[in-house]
Amino acid sequence: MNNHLKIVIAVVVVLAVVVGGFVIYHEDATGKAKGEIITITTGDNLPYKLTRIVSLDPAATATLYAIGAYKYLVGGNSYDFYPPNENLPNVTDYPSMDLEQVFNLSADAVISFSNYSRAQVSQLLNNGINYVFLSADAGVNFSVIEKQNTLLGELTGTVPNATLINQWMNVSLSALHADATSYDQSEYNSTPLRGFYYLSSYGGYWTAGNDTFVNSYFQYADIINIAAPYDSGFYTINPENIVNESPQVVILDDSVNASSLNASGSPFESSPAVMNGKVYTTTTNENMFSEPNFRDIFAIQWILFMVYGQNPALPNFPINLTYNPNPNGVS
Amino acid sequence: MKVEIENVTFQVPSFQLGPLGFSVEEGTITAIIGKNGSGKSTTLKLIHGDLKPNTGTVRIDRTKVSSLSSLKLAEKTSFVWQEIFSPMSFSVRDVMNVSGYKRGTDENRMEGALDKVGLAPFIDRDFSVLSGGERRLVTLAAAIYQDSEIMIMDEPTNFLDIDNQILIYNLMKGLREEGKTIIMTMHDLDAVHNLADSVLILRDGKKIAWGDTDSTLTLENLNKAFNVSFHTYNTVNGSSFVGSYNG
Amino acid sequence: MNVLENERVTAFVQRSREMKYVWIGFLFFLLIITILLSDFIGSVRIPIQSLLEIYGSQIPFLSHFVPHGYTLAQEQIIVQLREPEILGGVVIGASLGIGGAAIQSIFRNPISEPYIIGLSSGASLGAVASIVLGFTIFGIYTQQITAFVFGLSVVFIVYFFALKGGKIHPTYLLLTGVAVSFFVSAIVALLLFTNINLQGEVFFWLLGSLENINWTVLYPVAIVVLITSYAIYLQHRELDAIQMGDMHARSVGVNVERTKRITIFMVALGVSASVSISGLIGFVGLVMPHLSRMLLGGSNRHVIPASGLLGAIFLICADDIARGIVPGVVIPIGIVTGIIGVPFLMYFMRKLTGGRYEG
Repeated sequence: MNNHLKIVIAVVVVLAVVVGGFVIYHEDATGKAKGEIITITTGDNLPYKLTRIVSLDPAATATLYAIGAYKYLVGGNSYDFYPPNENLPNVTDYPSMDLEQVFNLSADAVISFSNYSRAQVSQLLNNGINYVFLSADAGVNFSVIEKQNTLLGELTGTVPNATLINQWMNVSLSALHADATSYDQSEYNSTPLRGFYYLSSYGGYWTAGNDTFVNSYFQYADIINIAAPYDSGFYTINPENIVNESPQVVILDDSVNASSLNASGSPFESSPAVMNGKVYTTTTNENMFSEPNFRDIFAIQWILFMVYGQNPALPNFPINLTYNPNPNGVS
Repeated sequence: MKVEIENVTFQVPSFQLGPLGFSVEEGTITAIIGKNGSGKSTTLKLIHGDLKPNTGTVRIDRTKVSSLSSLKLAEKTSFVWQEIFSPMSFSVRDVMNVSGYKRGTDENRMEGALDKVGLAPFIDRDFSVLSGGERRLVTLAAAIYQDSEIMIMDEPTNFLDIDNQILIYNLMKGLREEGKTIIMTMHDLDAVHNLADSVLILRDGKKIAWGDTDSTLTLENLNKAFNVSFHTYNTVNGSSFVGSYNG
Repeated sequence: MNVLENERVTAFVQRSREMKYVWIGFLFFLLIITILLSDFIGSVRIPIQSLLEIYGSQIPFLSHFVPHGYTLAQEQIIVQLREPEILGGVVIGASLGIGGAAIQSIFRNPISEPYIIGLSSGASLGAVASIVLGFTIFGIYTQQITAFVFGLSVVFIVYFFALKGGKIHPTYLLLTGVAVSFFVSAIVALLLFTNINLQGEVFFWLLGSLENINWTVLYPVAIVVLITSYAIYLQHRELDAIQMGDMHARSVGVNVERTKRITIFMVALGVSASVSISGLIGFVGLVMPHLSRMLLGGSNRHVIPASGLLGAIFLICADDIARGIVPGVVIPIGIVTGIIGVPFLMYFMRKLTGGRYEG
């Protein structure tokens, strides 16, 4: 080994030690306790209540408002629909969350439904910020939504209100299902209609399969979701299956052009839904089909209203809110 | 330093060279002549160890060439290649520096070597914008700068004007006087006759003749090697001249 | 461009090449300035006084004498988010630039870059496989570690496929690299095809990003890049010789195969480590060596350090644009390097080469 190489190795070792010391210094810089990852499985594992929340999940924003924890929000996102007239700073959530904004708001938790990179989540945790993950993917049904309500109640100290909402949901679901069964019996001789939910036309026929909250809507409305047998979660269905299943009801997301269903070559072209004009576009209530939370009850109410032409009544919402949570125009 | 080639054969599917056997004495110039494709360049690469012979051995200074490390080889031999790569954005100095790999950079010797080929002012020029002849001169200077005992040259006067050819011939004579051993291929028979101490004549990979220049460079051997008839001409001032084109 | 102007440009290039050490010093200075200025850029505005105080607080011993008039949030933003991202840009840009210079010398090919020896496809496979198959064997940094290991493995596979009679021929290595890359990319595509939900996540990895870099991942990568870069630099004379042809390199005393082996291994190690934390950032490894050669001439003694410095400066600037152009939104840096870098390169090629690559 020549002297030159020895010097090089010495320099590298010294640099490594210096850089290492610098990094170790940084690792401990904040002196805060590490944050936790919180889901409905872990439950509330914090010794304190959250008071500075950034919500990157519009469904959670609505729930926090309903349970009376809206005052603990310090940041929202640009997809928040409910409550209206929000005056929280919008934190960027795509393609990644803007950690600078989160840090700047001195948040104690971020609520999200997206799969952000592990590196980003660990940055939050290392800086003492908790990460509350509320799934919106396959597997989310009304029982999961109720657990999410309870979790948000626990985290913010509003469990009684969360419990009231869960009770209201259970009563509403039973009432709606009973209504749907009787409409079906009187109008269609107890033969359930076959329905299809058309989420997006971007890159295929996106729909909601088995194990989704939209699939639950169909079940409570006594309608068969034709997409459920083929796959679970949100997926693109083969158009041949649409033709084969000949849906009698189609619910369209408002991003999909209704006239495209009549176009020649469309798998819906000769379906009973198109023939009988049973195609319904979500408009003001669009977010109820994309966000899993308590307001999904109103989505089922809307489906019954559109499909059967009836006006099913719901029990009164248990909490007095400034902004009516029901977008269907009834309370 | 002696170069000894013993019973060397080399075979590729379409071509066979050898068996070759000869030895080159220290401080001499050896020329290898023959038609294109007769195996001249292959012979040089075998001597330099770039190709491995199927049989036989090449020894430089009594050491097998195949057992020399590249550093030892570079100390004993330098090579002036026929094709020159045009390295990205190299200056003449960079090209020279590459040949100084073994001995380290020495600005004075570098300028001296370039001065011998008349290109000292070109030292900071971009190598790739030089003409073919200028590049050839730079590579010769680089081989001189490498300062090894044996210099192997593949067509060193290619691309050169007459005046530069003569410059190179004189340079070779000077190198021989310094004790360097030169092994080269060359097309110009006139120059070979005037310059070389020994000549190897090849045809289709076979040795036609080997020996000192005067006894080897005969009309008979040349006719065999090139398959045309050579004549001796007497010029106006009485010297003789070997040529084949009598048009 | 008329003849007169052309001559003027040639004269400029000539002069610039005579001032090699001045250039390297200037680039180093420029890098320091770029690092300091980049700390201002982000979606949250931080006053200069707070920034200076935060800098001061990070210097051991001095920290006791500096006023602490900044908030914890400001300190977190600078120390935990911006500094590792910017220094990550330095490390990754430098390793790509240096790797590019070395690989171009070995292949004697101006359009080669570190990714060409199978590195990028291997690293993609590692990253995608860890996401798709849900590996967690190495904890939260599984994706980075698998990307690194796969990148390195594919380079070894390419190397041993290209080995013929103990020698590596550049053209054969290049073709093997391209072929193996295609094969591995097909596997990546297959994994993506079977798992459509992950296309978004993988897409962003393939475009590259510096924002996932934190101190924990930066530390080991910086050490690896430091060592490999220096090891590559120590080969600069050998690489110069190889740039003139393998046989010529051998004739001047270079152990060609050993040099290639060391260089390819060091490039693979350094660039795999970089790519594992940043995703695939193109363009830097290809272009920075050329820019260095235009400014400083072709000798690797200067090309290697200058490519590293230019790569670092360029990547930090591209990241500033990626972070600053739309407030709050971080555009994948691969998009920025392409859209902004390429026209810039075209301009320089026309302006400064003066026909040097035509001969």
